[in-house]
Amino acid sequence: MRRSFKVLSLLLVILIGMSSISSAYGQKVIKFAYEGEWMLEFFKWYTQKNPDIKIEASPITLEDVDTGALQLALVGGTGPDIMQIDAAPGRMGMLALAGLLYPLDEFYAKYGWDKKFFPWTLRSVTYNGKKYGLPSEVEYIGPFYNKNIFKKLGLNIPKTYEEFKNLLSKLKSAGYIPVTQGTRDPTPRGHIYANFIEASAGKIRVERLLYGNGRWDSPEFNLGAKELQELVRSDLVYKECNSLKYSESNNLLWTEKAAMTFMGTWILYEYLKEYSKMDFGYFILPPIGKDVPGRFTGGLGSGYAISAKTKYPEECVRILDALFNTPEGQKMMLTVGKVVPPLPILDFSKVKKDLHPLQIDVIQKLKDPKGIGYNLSVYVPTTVKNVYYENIQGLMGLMISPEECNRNIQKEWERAKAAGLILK
Amino acid sequence: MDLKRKLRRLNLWAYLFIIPALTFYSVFTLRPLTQSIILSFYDWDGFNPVKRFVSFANYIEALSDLVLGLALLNNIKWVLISIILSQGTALLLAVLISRCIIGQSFFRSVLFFPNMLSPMIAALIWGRIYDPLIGFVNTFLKSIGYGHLARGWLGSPEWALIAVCIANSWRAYGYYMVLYLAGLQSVDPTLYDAAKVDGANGWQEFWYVTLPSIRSTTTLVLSLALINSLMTFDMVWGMTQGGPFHRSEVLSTLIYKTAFASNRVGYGCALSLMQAILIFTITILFIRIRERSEG
Amino acid sequence: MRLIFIILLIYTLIALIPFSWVVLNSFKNNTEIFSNPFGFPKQFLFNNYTEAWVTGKLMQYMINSFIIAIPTTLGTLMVSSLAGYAFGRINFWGDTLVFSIFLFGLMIPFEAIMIPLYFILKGLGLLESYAGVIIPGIGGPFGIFLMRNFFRQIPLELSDSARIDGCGEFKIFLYIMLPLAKPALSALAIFSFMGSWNSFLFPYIVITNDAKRPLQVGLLNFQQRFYTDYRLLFAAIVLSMIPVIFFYVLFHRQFIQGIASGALKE
Repeated sequence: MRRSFKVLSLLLVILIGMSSISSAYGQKVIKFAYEGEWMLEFFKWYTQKNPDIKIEASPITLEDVDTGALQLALVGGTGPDIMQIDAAPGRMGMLALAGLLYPLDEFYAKYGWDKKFFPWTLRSVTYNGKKYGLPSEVEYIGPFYNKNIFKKLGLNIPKTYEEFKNLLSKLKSAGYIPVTQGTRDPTPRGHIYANFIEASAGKIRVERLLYGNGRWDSPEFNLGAKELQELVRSDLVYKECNSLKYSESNNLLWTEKAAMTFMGTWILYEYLKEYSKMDFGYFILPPIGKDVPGRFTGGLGSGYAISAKTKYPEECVRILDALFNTPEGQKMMLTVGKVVPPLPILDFSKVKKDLHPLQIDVIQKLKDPKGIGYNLSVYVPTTVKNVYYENIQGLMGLMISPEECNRNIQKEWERAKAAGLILK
Repeated sequence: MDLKRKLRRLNLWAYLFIIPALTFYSVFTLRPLTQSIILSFYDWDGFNPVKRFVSFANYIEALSDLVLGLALLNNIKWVLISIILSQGTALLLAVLISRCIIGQSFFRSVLFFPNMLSPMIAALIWGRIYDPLIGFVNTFLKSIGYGHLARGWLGSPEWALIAVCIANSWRAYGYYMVLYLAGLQSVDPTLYDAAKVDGANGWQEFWYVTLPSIRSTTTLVLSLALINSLMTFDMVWGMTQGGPFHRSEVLSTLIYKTAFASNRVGYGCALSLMQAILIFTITILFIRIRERSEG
Repeated sequence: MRLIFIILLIYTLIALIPFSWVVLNSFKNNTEIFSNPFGFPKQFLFNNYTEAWVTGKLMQYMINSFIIAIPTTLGTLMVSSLAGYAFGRINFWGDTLVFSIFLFGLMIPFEAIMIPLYFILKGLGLLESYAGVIIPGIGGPFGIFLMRNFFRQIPLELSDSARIDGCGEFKIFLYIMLPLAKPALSALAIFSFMGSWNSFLFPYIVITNDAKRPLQVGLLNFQQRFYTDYRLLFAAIVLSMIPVIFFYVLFHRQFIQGIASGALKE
């Protein structure tokens, strides 16, 4: 027994020793907190071309920002050098305001990024007049539907909201769950809610809310919330959605028990990896309000930011430039990561053949920024975000009225405004 | 001469044995605790270099916080359900095992198994059991003709807390069972013989011989259960995160959300201190009551 | 007697079935997991395990978990037995008070100290290190309580006679008391190891460097932001249970005995 303990402790010492030796090699070590596993391929490619750089990659999750673990690490100086986080006031903005991110304006000029990225995408990475990140992928969110089920039942893409409701009823009578949504998890709540708000209030009013004096409990917003709740009440949106996590809800789609869900284009990764034999597509939720054209919500997904405490800002920037500004980097983003970068695609004609029609669609829609509404979830600061998510869950669980839901969010929004948390 | 002897009897050298534990404890438990107390008088988001002193504002706010009241009620519900499910099962199984002629070791190990799972894993497993469409519970209900009772358990305002509590009891009972088992080992067997002579049946034996003999064990185990129930976090967080809309909110999840998700560290500290005081008070009260009623 | 067995068997099923369901499903592919959750896999996909092991970097996470759990357990055993011995066998000035201070610690919820603890670790430079998770995990009141109760029951004559023979206090502890304490130490070892192996929240906030993260945190990787690979997750869960089960099997005979003598004699 004593012998085995000695061996064990020796082993431990060796293991610990080994892990500290690797960082003494004279390479520049850059810690990268990444989001999609495809990035590991990019890291491999980059470090092969640049052997003086070692990239220590760790996956990042939503919890890291929402629970403050990331902030704590950044403050403590142990955080990542480059991190992939939502490019929005609620996430990137919060870190920028706390002085935890490196301002990148000089690099934008130096590497010509300011001429490359679509101007409307830069708004989401600019805080207090300075740029703190790179917009990384663009996605839109809307009803994602099973084309085969629609074909089987002879259903067409609805052009009016009435048609949409009829379609849902037909699906229900045929034994399908018309719309599933994983609202046991927070983010799917925002996805469906924001779509309904967009359909009832429209982009201009949402902009007025986010950047002006608009209110959450205005009639147009209440209309969207009310319609959503009515759909849940009549089980046209799955009544038990509050007991489903995001992935559990998705699996209702893949096993064809449900016909559609409100989902973002990031689903392409999972879809193309495992379910590409199935036929899925997107349509736009028809408008509910009278003067609203009907749009997807979405915009920027995540962005890349650099820690204010990094030792190697220039090297970090170069890594990012290789990702966005080179044909190889872009190709990897599109074909491996299935994400669409927010800048003109170099060699588009060459890459096109490797892309899924949905990706090409996103790329083309991107050129017209008027086409995409706001995914509210990422535009609200953290304190509001919790109230927002909780109330939407209450809304969809038929526990509070739409007016009450929006009123609660408005209250918290005003509180945040007074505390200076709402960014312009 | 007298003083020296007095000093020697104080046995202060014993502190040498205690110093390691005391050091760890002070630095990593007591010190953060005192800092928490201090922080509870501030308004702070956790990483801003500036903190704002607000005196008792956090505590006053807590008193009118409706969600806090709801969380407290949920904890009490949790305590009650746990006593029946977790403690009841633990005691029952412990008694049964101790009466086994063969297979004691087998049952002991196997029945302890759920406690070896981490709360995260248990939460995952039970999440699937409660799945509204393909979960075990609903499938079972449908198969015995009670399909109308089937629902999304973890999304149900009325059932979410109970569902999580059941899952937690499954994971936790093993720990208490083992403690009861240990206590039962020390029961004087001659007492059972005497009871048999008096013609007592199984239930009477249990009530009049077993239970009183393990009284101190029961006090200890129930105290631990009480503390754990008031502190419960992992399973709730893993399964519902306090949802839907606070219906399964418990003190710990509320505090965690406040401190981290809402970035209100000062308020969170105030709440957690109130929780600590609550746990302390209730536990001491419980122990006192037990000691006093000990004939 | 037969009734007892029946009841015990029913509970055995209740205890084992949920986990065996995980094991069963760990051999299926993702579609089958959801379309046929309770049946036998059409094919036993053993490669789920190899894939989970490799892509999930399970070896790395397990080694990290060991690096954390073993010193935590050893440290807890040493510190708790020392303190427990003193509390249990020596009457010294302030012993009740100091012991109560330790007992109080049992009732402090983790959230109450989480954030200040983080900053204390930062100040000591212990963030992002194994030591940062190990060291705070050592001074636990539960262990002290267990060992104290155990030591209290050893007859006084044993230590008295050793003292008369001129044995120093520490030697009494090391050569007489400690060997006697094997059952209690085993019990504490199991609880300590399990607690450390299964702990999630604390290592999660202390270590953000993926290379050093322990198993429970590493399992999060299977539940990425927008994609959960269930078959790999289940396989990883089964794999993660093996060391715990092994450790338990190693010590389990002493386990109950240790608790019996450790926790419950008042």
